[in-house]
Amino acid sequence: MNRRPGNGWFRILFLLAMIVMIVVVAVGIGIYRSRTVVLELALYSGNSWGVPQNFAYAIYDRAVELFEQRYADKGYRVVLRTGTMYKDYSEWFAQLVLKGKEPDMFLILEEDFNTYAAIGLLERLDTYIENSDLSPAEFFSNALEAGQYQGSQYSLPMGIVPSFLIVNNDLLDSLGLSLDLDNWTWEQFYNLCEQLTADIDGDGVPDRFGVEGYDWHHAFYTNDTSLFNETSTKAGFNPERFAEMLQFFKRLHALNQGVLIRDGMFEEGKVGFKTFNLSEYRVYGSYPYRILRYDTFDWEAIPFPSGPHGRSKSKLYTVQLGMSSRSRHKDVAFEFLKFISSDEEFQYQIWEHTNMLPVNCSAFNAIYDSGIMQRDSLRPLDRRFIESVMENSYIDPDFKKYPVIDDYITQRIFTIIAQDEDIPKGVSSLHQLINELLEDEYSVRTLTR
Amino acid sequence: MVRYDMEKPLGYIYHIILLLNLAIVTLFSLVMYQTTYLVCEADQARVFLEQARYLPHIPWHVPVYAITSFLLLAVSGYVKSRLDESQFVLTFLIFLADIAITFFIAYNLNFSYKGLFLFLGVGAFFFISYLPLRYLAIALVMLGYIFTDYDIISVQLNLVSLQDYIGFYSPSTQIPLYSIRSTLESLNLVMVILFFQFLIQSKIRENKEFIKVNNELSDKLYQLEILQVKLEESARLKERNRLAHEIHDILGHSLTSISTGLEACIELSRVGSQELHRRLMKIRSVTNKGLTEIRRSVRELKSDAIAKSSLLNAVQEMINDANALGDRSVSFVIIGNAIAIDEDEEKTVYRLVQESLTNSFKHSRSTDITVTFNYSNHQLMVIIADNGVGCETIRKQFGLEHIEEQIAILGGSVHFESAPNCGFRTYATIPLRTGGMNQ
Repeated sequence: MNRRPGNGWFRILFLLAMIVMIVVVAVGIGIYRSRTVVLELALYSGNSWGVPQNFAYAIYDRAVELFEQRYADKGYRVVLRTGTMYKDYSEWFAQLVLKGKEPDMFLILEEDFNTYAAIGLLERLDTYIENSDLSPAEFFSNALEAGQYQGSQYSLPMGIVPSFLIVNNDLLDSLGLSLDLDNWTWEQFYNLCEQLTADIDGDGVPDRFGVEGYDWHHAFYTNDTSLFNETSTKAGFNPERFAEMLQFFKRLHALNQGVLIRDGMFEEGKVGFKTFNLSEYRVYGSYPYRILRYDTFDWEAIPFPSGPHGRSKSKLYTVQLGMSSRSRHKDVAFEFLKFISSDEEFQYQIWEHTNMLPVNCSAFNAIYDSGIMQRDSLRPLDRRFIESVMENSYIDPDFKKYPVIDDYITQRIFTIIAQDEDIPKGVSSLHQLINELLEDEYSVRTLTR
Repeated sequence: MVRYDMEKPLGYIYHIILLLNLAIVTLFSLVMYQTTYLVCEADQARVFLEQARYLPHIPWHVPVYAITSFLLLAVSGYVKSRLDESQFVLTFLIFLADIAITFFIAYNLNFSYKGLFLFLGVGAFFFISYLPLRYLAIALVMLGYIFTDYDIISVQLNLVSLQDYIGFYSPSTQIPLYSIRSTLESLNLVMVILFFQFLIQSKIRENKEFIKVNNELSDKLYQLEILQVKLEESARLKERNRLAHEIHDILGHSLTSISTGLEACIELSRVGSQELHRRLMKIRSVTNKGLTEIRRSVRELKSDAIAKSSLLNAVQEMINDANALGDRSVSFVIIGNAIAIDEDEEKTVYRLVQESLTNSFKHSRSTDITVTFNYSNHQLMVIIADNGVGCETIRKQFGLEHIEEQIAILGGSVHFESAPNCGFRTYATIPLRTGGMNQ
């Protein structure tokens, strides 16, 4: 078939020329767009520890301002995407991801972190960190750990909120009870709670209680280290310790005789202990909020009591920022993440504009050294106490199915206690359940949360 | 080119498969696009991402990339059909690009559709004429077909299957979607099978035509060979005839003159020297013998003359020659309508008569020989009878045996009758190929 080959070649050449033109135009547009770097940052108002925050975006405005100043020569710009409440953020952000319109950088909810790292939405930061002057030693290590998934860094922390217990000193004093923090164990804690729990109005149900907000996680982490093995493929807890925890938790639970402790009972002076975090402490422990709450009695922060095989541990809340693997300006985005998490000037501002602590150690030191805490007429918060709380904190396991499995464990523990099951048997069945859930992808996938 | 003129149905099916795949790719990609927005409207985005095992494609990328890539495949098909068969390397390179494009489309559709590789396979048969490259292409396509299976890929890549997307619709939408999907996919499969059915048929037809042409060619060749042999034969005959004439005219004439002269010399010498007479008698005997030999030679040389003249004339001439020798009489009888018979038949009959006469002359001491040709429907009977001494037993010599064989080849038979002092008879029956009495 020799149909004038010259003509055919001409056509092919024409096609090639067209393709080359299209490529040139595309590359041109790409270069133009990469010159003017405009980063987007998705934010929520509110936080995971449920403490109101005035001017929620003020800190981010400040960050943008400082960042743009610092890179004024490069002309980087950062645009904030605001207006979403904390509770709506997960779905709102997921929709952006599905539509492919997620911003370059975004705040990550704790419950979303594992999923987004697992599906590849979050850009892996390891190589960026290696190529930068960012030093992991400058961070509180637990804060950095919270942004790791399977050994890789996927997000950088901005601020942290450690948690602890608070105690109503007046209530304990009035009952002639005292704390021995040198021997601060479950046993002492249980005894105090037992003595605190009482039916004052004589209606047959207790109306004064030991502790508010204490759940099995608090007990578990003060007696064991990890729920899962290192690779998160199997349950990794010690069954005896878990049984001890359940036993203790069951006893503690039994004190209340089935009465649920309402939110705010501690504030009314009817509860001896309450789980608390720094953010709450900051809000209610300083002017003006301290007038609204917790002002009728004397209270102070104490660590969690330790189990027979563990030591005092508490959950560390962090605010994590990550960047999209589909961002067009990943290098600049990383610069911003790095700036947010390690720039000393900005990190210092975190104390000014939020109820968090900075993740950067030198900024933390600067805050303590500057006497700024006293300026805010904050209740005294011992530096050594807060440092030891942060050091002895845990972060939630970092795999995709964890939130679902956590729900299962909570439900199972509740049934073991409520139905008075044999504890060792219950623990081994729970062990098995966790392994099955970890193995069987589908049962977890289909569970709607 | 072959693929364009004789494979028209194949071309139609190829284009049907092309359109079918375009429809499937369009449907799948639009479903994926549309579902994403449906999921968002239903506030199920977070749950969907939890179920997704991989970051889903950006919605508008899916139809745009998939359909554009598919159109690219169509263009590449057009380009390949325009390429000369000798540019098979270029065709193959374009085909490799096709495989890459197909992978890209499959990736955009989350490997939920692999029928595209069937389409590529059809293309390999359609466009790549150089067999080793075609087989390589088909092997690659087969690998692609096997490994783009969602169930295999998803183990490694964690993709959201089309099923997951369709799963988000209400059952009343799911059922038509699933049925359209499976109908289109089955139709695609049916078309591919049909393509190969037609391909096989066209190959068989091609083969048959080839065999037919081949047969015709070998027929022609055979005829040419025969013609060649005939030409040679004719040249040989001509030369023999010339030789025979020359021997007969020159040598025969001279010997006859010598013989006549010798007769006179003998008459003269009868009165003279006894010795001279005896010698002359000896010379005459030698001369006569020579004359006989020459006549025989000429006769044999001329035997092939029958090719030119008819059999009857040739036999008549042979009988005349025999009669010319003088001491015996040979008669020729023809019964029935003499017809022209084939050359090989003529030759055999002539040889039969010749051999029989020679035998009679040599052995029978007969005075009367009768040669009879009896033509009947599709058959010629030849009888040669003499009144010689005959013999008790017939000893077949080489000549007779040869004649028998020749007649047997023609499908005829021969037999001999003889008894002491009752002469010798040869009966031969030869079936005739050409016609009967009416011819």
